[in-house]
Amino acid sequence: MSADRVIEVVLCDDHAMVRAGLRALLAGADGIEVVGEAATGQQAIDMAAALRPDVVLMDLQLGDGMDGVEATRRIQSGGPGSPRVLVLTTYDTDADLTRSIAAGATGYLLKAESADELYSAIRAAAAGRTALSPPVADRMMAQLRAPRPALTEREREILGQLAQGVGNREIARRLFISEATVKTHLGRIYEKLGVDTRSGAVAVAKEQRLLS
Amino acid sequence: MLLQAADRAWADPALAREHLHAAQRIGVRNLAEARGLVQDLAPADLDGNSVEEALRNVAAREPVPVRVRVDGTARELPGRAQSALVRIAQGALANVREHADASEVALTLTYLDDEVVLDITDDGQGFDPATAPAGGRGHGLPAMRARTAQLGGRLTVESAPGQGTAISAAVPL
Repeated sequence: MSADRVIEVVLCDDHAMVRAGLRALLAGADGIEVVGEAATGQQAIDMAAALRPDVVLMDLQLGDGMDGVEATRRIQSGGPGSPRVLVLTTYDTDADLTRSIAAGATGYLLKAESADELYSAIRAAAAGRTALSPPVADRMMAQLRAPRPALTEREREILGQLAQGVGNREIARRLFISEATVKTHLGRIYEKLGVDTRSGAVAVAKEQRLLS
Repeated sequence: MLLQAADRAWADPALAREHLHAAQRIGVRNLAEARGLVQDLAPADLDGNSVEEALRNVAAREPVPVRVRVDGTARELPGRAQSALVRIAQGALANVREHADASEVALTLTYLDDEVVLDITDDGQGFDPATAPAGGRGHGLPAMRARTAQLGGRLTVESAPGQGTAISAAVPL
């Protein structure tokens, strides 16, 4: 891609104010043009296919329906030539980061970044280079230095039941333990995976192939 | 001695009765002390055995087969914790035997980083934990709760009529 070609961007965020703010911010950047605004994951997927932008700026929390991670995955499943997805989020959790990258995001930015950081991240993403906010990159390095403890056999067993959508009471019954102990195990599983919900645990487990 | 004194004072019924009542009070207190001593003693099943072996012995004496499982990496527990866990297992299995009419009973000891948890579950008739009787012989849920609390732990009772019962004693390490 030549340096003077305009980078076309689609914004995906369920808040109109945020889209308006981003549009205003990007209007001040040389060589970056917003070609579409999506309020839902489905709109973003449709626009990515119809407009073939270089980059989709993707929020993760999209209200009801598909979240940003799923939208990212579907946009990336378009194969080579699919737009790059740059996740732009308020939330900074390990689980979101892991899921987004596993879904094929080229970069992960926090909304609190400066405008210049945003411009350079969009240019990097358009060129196919990874773009991470410095705090995100720091955390990723810290994780790699001190990997989380592995799940125990019992924890994998319980995670497997979670993935099948089995509730706590039924897990307790199947494993001949109390619900209190199931909850204790869940707490430790969440801690190890850096998540705080059942669905978060299942998503990380699938993406990191923790369940055989 | 008080009983002898009562015998001697038989001609004075008021005095004799006073001696008798005093003897009675002391007798009751001695019995309570004796019970307390017995409860604090390490269970015989722990004699020369690990807590896991003791729990297996306790389980093996039940009329219904009890499935015993140990989760996590076993490690040496303080003596008080071992005694409490074995006593709680005995109490819970006694309840299952006497009240539950269960066909499947399981005992699971789980070692975690900072606590050890004993679960006793059965598929019996269950009960409403809000109306469980207090139990007068040092068995029963109150005694299990007291043992767990003494070690800074917590006892959880999960049951409902027709739903089986799960007792969980979590003791911090």
